[in-house]
Amino acid sequence: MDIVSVFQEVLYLAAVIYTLAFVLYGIRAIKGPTTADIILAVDCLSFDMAAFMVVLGIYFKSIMLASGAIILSLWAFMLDLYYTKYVLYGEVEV
Amino acid sequence: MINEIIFVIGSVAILLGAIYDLIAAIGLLRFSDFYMRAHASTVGTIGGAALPVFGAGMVALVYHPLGDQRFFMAGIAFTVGVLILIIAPTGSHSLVSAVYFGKVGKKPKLVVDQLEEDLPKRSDVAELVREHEELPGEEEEPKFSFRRLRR
Repeated sequence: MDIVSVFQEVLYLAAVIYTLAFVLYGIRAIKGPTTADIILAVDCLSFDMAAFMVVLGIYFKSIMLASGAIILSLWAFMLDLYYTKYVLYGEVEV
Repeated sequence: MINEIIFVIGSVAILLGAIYDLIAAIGLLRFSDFYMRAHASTVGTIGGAALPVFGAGMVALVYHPLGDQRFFMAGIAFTVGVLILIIAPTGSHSLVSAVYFGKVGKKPKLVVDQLEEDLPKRSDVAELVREHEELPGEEEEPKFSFRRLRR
């Protein structure tokens, strides 16, 4: 069993399913009735993109691609907290 | 032998995470109100993001074309996994509480809402504030303004 070829097969299969999920998240992010729905969809989108970037970083043998995933997941968290502060307190303070 | 076992576990975790992700996306698109969509999105963040990241870390440990860099890659993957495990429930909890207390959008039809029964009534709070009100002019301006809540 060759690890590289099996991992390529796994990556192809996973990339197709991930792309389909990204498209479905994008539809909800565009048409969401309220702002909270949009933020929920963008939140899911960025966490999944972080996971997919780590997998792609293994495939392309690049550490730089994988280290961006940390920033991406923290950014999604920041989006949640700022929206909460804006809705509940009416202002965004640092 | 042990390398193949770790590799198979990691690959199965990546594929399972992709399937979880698709299920969560369908749920996010099809559910009717915001709270059920939040339920679907938690499936998507824990099952669809944290699980494949841990699987990718296990794959990276035994993926020999990476050379010596594979330990760095596995370290980054496990860090991102632990970060998502901490961050995703906190973020979705704060978002749902903002929607509930800030009254964003239309409230769905509920059979029972026990949180609303436990909260103090708005008229009681106003009466309490009137009882303990101080003389105007002596108080400093508060740092946080609760104007959205007070409305």
